[in-house]
Amino acid sequence: MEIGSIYEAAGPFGDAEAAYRTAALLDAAKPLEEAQRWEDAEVLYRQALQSGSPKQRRFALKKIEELAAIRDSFWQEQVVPTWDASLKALLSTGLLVVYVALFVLLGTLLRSIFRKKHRDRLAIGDFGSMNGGRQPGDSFGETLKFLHERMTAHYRRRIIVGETGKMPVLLDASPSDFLDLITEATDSLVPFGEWLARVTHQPGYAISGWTEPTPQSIKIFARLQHNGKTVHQWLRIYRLRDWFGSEQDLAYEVLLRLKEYTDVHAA
Amino acid sequence: MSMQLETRNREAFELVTDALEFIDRYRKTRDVARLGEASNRLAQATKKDPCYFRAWYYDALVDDLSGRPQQAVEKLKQLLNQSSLLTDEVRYNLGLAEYHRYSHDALRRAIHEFMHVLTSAKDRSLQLRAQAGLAQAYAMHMIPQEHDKPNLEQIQQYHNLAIGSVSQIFQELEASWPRRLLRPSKSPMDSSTAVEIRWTAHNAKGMALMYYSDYLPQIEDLEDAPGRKRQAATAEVALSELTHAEAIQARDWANWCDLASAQMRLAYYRSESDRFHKTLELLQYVIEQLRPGYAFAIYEKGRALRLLGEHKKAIECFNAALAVPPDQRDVSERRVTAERQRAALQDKSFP
Repeated sequence: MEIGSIYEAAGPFGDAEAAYRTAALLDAAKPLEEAQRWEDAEVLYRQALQSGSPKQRRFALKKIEELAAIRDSFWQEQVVPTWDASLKALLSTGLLVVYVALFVLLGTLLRSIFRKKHRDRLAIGDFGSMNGGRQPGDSFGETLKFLHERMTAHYRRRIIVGETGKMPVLLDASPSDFLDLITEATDSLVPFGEWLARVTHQPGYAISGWTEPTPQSIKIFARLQHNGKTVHQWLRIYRLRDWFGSEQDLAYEVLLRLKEYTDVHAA
Repeated sequence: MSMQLETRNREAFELVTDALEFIDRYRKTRDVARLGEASNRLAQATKKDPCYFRAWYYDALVDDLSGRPQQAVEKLKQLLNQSSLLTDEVRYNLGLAEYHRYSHDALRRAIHEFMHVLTSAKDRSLQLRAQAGLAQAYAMHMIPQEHDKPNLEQIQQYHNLAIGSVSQIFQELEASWPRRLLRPSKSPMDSSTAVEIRWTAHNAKGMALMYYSDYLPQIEDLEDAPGRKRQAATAEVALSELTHAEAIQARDWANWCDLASAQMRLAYYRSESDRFHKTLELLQYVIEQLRPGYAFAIYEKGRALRLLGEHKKAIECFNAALAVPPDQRDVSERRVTAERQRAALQDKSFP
């Protein structure tokens, strides 16, 4: 600016105008340099190099050399990009951790709520054959469910009979209407729906097991559990021709054990 | 023989489940044939497993429902201490079966059993059922053993006890919601139990007022005309209570007999022959449909006919009632014979 004023006073107004312009460029480059926008600052210094007074050109050249030194330095070459990348990765990982933590927390909370809500509920497994395919014994789960219905009717509270104990209510393994609704809305929600169905399925009582048929006999294993702990288990082998007669007897034995166990715990 | 509450025999269990379904159907339809089916299944179940407590217990209840309280009492007495889980229930049903025998001795035993349940049962709904049974037993106890030698003091005392019990029941059933919210019950009552208790309470109140009206002029020391007027007014309230019970639970044979008895009293107090015919219609329905051949209903029909002046038909009814075995009659031989004698003498007085 000072040089521009000298030119202006002496009469060469063209030189004065160029000096003013270059001074403006140098002023504009300074904040860019402070903001570490090295390339933008260098462009302005190069423009000043072409149009400024000798003093201004010397100043611009000096600045260009300084900027080149900075840009070539190890810090700017290696550390800063690495730091930026790490920061981005850290941020993404942090977000992921937060998401996972939220899901774990939500899962734990839902499990706890539904475990309490379903503490008197019963789940009956499907007793599918270990050999795969449709085999005798596959229907044992259905037989258990049928007898459970009979026993529920039997032990229902009646006025003339009064309270005679209760059978745990059967917990439906299929997802609820609400889950059906959200999974039907969009395919992307299917995994979420499955996860929700899994965490909310928390029966207090469970009867599970398997069957293993051979051409002559059928081996059956059934386990009664309460809150994950085994109350009783059965491992029986029946001749195939006796199985159809014994299936309901075994189902009754299992459910009666459950009834007696719940009576003691209710008392 | 040591009883087991549950059976290991699935077939016995299935038979008892079928029997319970028949009992449920009886309660809905009042079709006594269902009780026969239930009884048949229970007999088979006790053969399959003679130690199956529930089979014997339900068999006793079916006996009582079928009008065989004597057999029910015998079975229930044997079962009384066989299952710690159901002791109070068994005792309550023993009280009910004793009540259904209607004699003064049996009523005293019923009162004893109901009192026991009231003090020992933890289930509030069972306590209330016992209290309702107690109200009925008190009311029934108001009938003097000999109609011409009533113990007025005792009638007044049992009337007060019956009405007091009914008031307590209604107070409990109609407890306001803030009270129920502040003192929630550990064993909340289901609606069908509440209906049953309400029915019993209305029936008991109806009976208590009806039997009180019989000796009201003597108890309250009233002259003939005002005495008769008060008797009619009291019988009217009794009829209203019994009609209320009918509205709650329709076609119960015991309540129908009581409705007929209340109509008979009103007919007598107001000298309304139409009401006598209404009485006869109600009793005929019990004898033909609700409890076929029920001796007490035949006896009561005889009484209505005697008051109506149809003494010959009345005597036929009393003879028919006496032909029924005493354990199924629900009315003593002495009482029927006395009524027959009054009919023979063309006596039209009441009670």
